[in-house]
Amino acid sequence: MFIIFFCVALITFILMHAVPGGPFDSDKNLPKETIEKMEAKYHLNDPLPKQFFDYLSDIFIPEFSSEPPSGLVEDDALVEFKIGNTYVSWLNFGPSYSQRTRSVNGIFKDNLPVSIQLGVLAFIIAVMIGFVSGIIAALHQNSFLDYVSMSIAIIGVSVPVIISGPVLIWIFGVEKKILPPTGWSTARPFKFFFLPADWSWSGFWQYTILPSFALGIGSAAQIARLLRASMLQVMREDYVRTARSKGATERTVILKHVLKNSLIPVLTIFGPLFATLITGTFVTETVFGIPGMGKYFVNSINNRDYPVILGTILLYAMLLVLCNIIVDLLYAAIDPRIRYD
Amino acid sequence: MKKIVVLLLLAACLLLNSVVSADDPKVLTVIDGQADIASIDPSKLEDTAAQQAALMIFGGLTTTNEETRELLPNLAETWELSDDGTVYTFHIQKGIPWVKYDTASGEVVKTDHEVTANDLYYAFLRTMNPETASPYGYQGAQSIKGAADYNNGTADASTVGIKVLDDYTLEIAFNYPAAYNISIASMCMHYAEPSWLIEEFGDKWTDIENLASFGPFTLKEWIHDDRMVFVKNPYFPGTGGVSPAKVDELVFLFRDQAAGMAEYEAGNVDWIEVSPSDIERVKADPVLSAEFSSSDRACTEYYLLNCMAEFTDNVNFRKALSYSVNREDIVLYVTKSGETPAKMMLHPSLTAAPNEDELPGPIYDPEFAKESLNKFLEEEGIKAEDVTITLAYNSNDKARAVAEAVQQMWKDELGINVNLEGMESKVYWATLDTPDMAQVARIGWCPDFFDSTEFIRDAFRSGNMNNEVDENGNPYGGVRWYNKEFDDLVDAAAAETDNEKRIEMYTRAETIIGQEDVVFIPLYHYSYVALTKPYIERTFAVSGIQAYQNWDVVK
Repeated sequence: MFIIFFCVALITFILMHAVPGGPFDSDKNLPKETIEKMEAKYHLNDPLPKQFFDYLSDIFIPEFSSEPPSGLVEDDALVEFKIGNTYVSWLNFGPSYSQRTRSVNGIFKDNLPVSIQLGVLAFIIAVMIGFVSGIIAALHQNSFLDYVSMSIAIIGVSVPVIISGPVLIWIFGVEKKILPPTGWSTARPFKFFFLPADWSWSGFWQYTILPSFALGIGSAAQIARLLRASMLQVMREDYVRTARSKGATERTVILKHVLKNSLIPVLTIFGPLFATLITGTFVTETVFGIPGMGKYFVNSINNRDYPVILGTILLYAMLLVLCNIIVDLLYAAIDPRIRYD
Repeated sequence: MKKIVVLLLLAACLLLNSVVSADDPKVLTVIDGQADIASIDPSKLEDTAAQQAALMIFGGLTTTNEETRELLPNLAETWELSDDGTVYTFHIQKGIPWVKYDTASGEVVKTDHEVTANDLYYAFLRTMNPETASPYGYQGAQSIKGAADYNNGTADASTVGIKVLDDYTLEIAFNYPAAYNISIASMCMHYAEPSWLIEEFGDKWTDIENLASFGPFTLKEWIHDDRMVFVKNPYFPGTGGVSPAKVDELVFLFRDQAAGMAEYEAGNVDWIEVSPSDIERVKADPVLSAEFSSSDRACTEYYLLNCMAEFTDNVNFRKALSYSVNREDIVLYVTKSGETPAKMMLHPSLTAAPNEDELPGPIYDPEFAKESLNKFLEEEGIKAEDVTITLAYNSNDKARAVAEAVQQMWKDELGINVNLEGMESKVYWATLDTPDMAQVARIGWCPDFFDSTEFIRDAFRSGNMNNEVDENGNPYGGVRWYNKEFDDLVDAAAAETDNEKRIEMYTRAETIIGQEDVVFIPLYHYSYVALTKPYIERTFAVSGIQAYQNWDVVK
């Protein structure tokens, strides 16, 4: 895992420094001395290899100090505690260059929970709709129901949130005024890092309906199509015929034999899908005005905000690896042929 | 009996309570920018949105009326200027308390501190301290006596020409008797700062739980990328230039343009700027068009001309380019947001700016353009179709639309070929003021303080922003042009104190860069196009920064 991180960090680091333009270039051409001072403050005048290894060591090597944390954004660590008289700080992802009083850790703490909330809800919607319509379509292959659910799936895949979002906002937020057009729960602080502080309809749920539906429906379509194809294939297998001929009910055949065996390809896309959804989606968050992580993936690159670029990419890499490990474990649970010794 | 009394009392309390809560707080919700505020630390902020937020809760020595740009007192009640015009003595208004929002009680409370000269002194020094690396540290360093060495780290704070005479008297010595010194002393990075908090909490002093402020509002809630909520500071007594707030709460919502329009149309937002893509729809809509307003904004859009690149090194060619741009058509049919065609770089609302109507040019004059082009072609011995130039811009919809229009105009009027080069913003800004700059390059500029020197000298004097020089003082990047008369003129105008003389000097300077040497092509002055709900009473700020304390909700 550490090797993956190292490679991801290294490639990102090289790419972002290869792009022309720096964090302090703007329409206002600041005096050279001012830019030099700012670069010195963020150690951007060090040789690149030194910058890279300093960055990694700030993250991974805990720092021990007899002094309490300084309060400077440069020193903001994710984990800070005290053993005896020694202060330990660990996981310092660095300061943001464009938001000068925030650290990357601060961005994680404030924005990631929102993205996780949205992502989990969208994932649940995607799985529910995807499974139901996928199964229906497979069971009634080439029937009217199949065509209906597959047409919906195609619309879901081909109409992006940037179109469906504003339409939903217009209908439910502006015309009917049933739901707030944009925004997210503003109750703080989060419980257990990512759970909302307020579970009420007006405090949380009313904000979630439109964006999680808009975000989930696209993935639902993906899941539905994949599940349908996979089920149709499994239904032709010998063991399904065997199950039927031994007199098992249709329900047992479908749920126990067909569905379970069709899950492998669907599960495979669950890992990356889940990781993508919970780390924030730029378009959905922008369209619905949701204060999540998504915009930092894009804006940090536009701003050449190096620590934020690295931080968001590493976060995504970490979650992707984690989700894939979980998916691998799930394979073993549903398919007896797969065993990890 | 006792029980009844208690019950009655209880009922009375409830009644009183409901009476109080029936008087709803006045909340003003605006979309003052689509992105989160970068910082509210006066020493660290840079962009207009951040300055806007900081102005709501802090303030400088003086301020200007947002509509007329008249200089008004703020923290400094009065001030005196020494006979040689370089030393200001500011008398600070007494009784402005530092307040904070107490999250536990939900109320604004006074702290033990009042704004004093020490808080200002601390702010000046913190901003100029090289370790702070403030993006605006150079402004004070260039103007205040002895500050440059401190800002470069070669001298300590004692060399800086700022003295605290007593708690309410601050003396600042400047290098030159320039008219705009007082504006620099009052800029955002020189707002009073609470030294005791910064020393205790470091960069986290601007977090809500630590923050103290003194302006018309104080910060109640800041949900990054979502909203910033200010509450009225009831202890702000008002100063000569800043009134106490009329509304109880001010909310900045951070929303993308489309999301913001949806919120406005749903009735959740009281004020929003309209993007060019929405203008036509807004003007056609009966409700929205009544709420639509267009007002001046002190910024100018212009094209830089690279005076050492092929073709554009010939002044007649540059004249042909400038006089063949139809600015009226651009604002009418391309930008469509109520901009005004520009003949000069300075915005007419700036101190000592020339009268734009009296300037003869540059304007759209196809005959003169053709004449100049022919002269150029003759001198060079080439044909118009042999001429190919590049027009570069940072890729955004508006800049591209204007560039395409200008490309067509040059093609039609002059018969030359124009390549458009749209670049990603940071790449563009990184190449703009270097020798690699294209023959023609776009830029827009809004002032940090409202004096003509800020625009014209800071941009075009050799060695400054758009006209960089190398170590030997030779033109290096940007427009790459040198004119001794211009350099001397803008230097003298910066130090001149007689306003009439300054206007004359800047008129001459504009004539040099716009009509004689033609180092730039002025296009248009910006505008604010906005939607305001009918129940809002507001002022129209000329700068990019609104005085929300003067806005009211009248329902």
